[in-house]
Amino acid sequence: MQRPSSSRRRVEAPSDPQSQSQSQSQSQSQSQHLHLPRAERSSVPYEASDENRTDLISKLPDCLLCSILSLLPIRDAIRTSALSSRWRHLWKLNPLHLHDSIFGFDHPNNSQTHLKTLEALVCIASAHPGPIHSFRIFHFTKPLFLCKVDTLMETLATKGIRDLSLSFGYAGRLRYRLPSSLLQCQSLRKASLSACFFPPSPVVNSCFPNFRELTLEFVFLWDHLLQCLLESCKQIEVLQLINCSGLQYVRLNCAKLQKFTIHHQNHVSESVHAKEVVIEDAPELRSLRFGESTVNHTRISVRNVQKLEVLGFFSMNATMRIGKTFSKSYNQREMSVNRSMGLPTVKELAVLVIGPFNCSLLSDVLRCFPCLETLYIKGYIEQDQHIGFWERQAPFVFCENHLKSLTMIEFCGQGAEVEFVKFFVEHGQVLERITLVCEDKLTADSRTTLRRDLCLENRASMHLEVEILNEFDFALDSREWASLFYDSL
Amino acid sequence: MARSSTENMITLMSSDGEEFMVTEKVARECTTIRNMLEDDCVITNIPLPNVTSDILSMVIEYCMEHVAAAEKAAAETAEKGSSSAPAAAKANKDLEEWDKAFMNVDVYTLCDLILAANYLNVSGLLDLTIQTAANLIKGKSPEQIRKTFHIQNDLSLEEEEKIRSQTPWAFEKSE
Repeated sequence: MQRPSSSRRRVEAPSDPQSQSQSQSQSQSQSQHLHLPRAERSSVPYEASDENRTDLISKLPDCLLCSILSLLPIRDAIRTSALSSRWRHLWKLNPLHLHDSIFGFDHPNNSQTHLKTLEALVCIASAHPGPIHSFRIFHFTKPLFLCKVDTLMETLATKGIRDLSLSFGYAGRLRYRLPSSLLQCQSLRKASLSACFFPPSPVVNSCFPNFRELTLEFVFLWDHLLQCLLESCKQIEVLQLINCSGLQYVRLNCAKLQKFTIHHQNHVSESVHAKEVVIEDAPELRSLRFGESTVNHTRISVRNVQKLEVLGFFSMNATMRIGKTFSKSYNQREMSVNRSMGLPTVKELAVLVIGPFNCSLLSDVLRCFPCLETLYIKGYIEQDQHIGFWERQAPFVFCENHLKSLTMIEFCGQGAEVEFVKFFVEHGQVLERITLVCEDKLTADSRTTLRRDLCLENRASMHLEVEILNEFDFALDSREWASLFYDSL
Repeated sequence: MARSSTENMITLMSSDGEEFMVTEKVARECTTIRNMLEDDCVITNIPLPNVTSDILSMVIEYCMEHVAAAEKAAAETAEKGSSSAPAAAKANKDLEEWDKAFMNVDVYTLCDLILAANYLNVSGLLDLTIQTAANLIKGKSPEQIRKTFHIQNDLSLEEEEKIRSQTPWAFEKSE
């Protein structure tokens, strides 16, 4: 033992030279005969004999041994059941978190591995008395095994599963029919279901009674089903529909809904998109996200915007109605903006700029968000007629003491676009970061030119940093937004 | 460690009767002692019948090191107005290294430390010792674990065989 215990004793107990020398002799002998110095002091309780000391760890109370086991991968924890009778059932005392990566295998095409993993999961889930807090399963692609999954789901439902994540293959090649035991599970709070399908609607009426978060991906839905689902999930706070097909007219009335996302991969056929999404009553709504292609194909209307903090993609060409502030009907050429109904709660905004547009309209839109902290702009704002436009503009209210981050996605570094960024460099008084995401990796030379063009010497904020990223790095950096337009995520 | 004369000193007494004088600040790292002090603020002598002197001295050493690190970080923040990220990261890393060296103990001392950290409620030390114990179990076969901790196997051959056959994949060699 290298610990300088003698000097420590001097600090701790200066009046006791005897213990100092004693401790020195202890530290020397400890490395070889660790229990000896203790045995010398026979008056100390619980150290009566060497036999009692030898298996000290097994004498720790259950709660401490369980804490140790909770830090181990489930395989290691189960392995301790063969140590002795003391250890046999200890691993079962901790709530279970099960993940199909328990074997560290990652070969989705090897069916032997799949079967083995699945059998192990069934075995663990049935041996454990519960509660099973979370369960995650990915890439099981063999239809043959789905009956085993049914058994597993039944077990989970009876053992208090709270957080469930199921993903069976991709893009509709295989879909798993959700068993009714799972749908009616009282304990389930959060689920992410991918490539699954629901049984016919009569069963659906009373499902997911205590849901807080639901993410559906590659799930075929229909309007009535979604409506029934939401009617029975009265507590739902997060709803995410990703690459779900079959919806036509969606109406949302959710008293507790805080976050809603609807998104499709780009380049899917138009028929996959819902025609209309109307959020009729969601007074708690804080985050509203639409994918790029959803904005282009679906009419979107939101009534409750009193608490909205995150909004995007907002598109001036899309048919959308946001509170009483923005509206554009199908045959209206240009979005109408009611500047007297600003949205002061919104802190994060993503704007999609597609096709020819009007710079003064963009300016009007941004002026409706006086407290914006984070702004994303995707698309091209480089038309020639916009040259000189931003130089003539008065600064936005949020530039003064709110806006901290500006991100330009698909930035080309030309004309009006550079002027737009320069406008924020000059007026953003608390701006901390400008991120320019360029399609191709820029050479060092073009980066230097770009930085020079932005006239950073005129910056209003001393803390401003400019970062030039390629799309890949940006996607890693800002996953939540990037997933709305990069298909691979 | 800087110690002003006005700072309250507390005497902790181990199960084998040794006395340790520590500052109140160090003693307060132990939630159990902190609660005692809050209940009765004039208390200066605390007997700890569940902790032996060699273990108590290690607990105190741990608490002193962590109090000193926290004080140093606070002083640097006060001096510069804001803490610089790289300096804080380095200080954290140093403390981690110190913890790692501190955990270079035999399994008996480790078990005693777990019990003491739990009894005195020193959450940082409890996390550290529990994690160290978990690391000693991780990736090992039952035989190796028994050897490490001197665990007596009281299972019959048949019983052990039965346990192993219920979850055979748990006993296969890890990759």
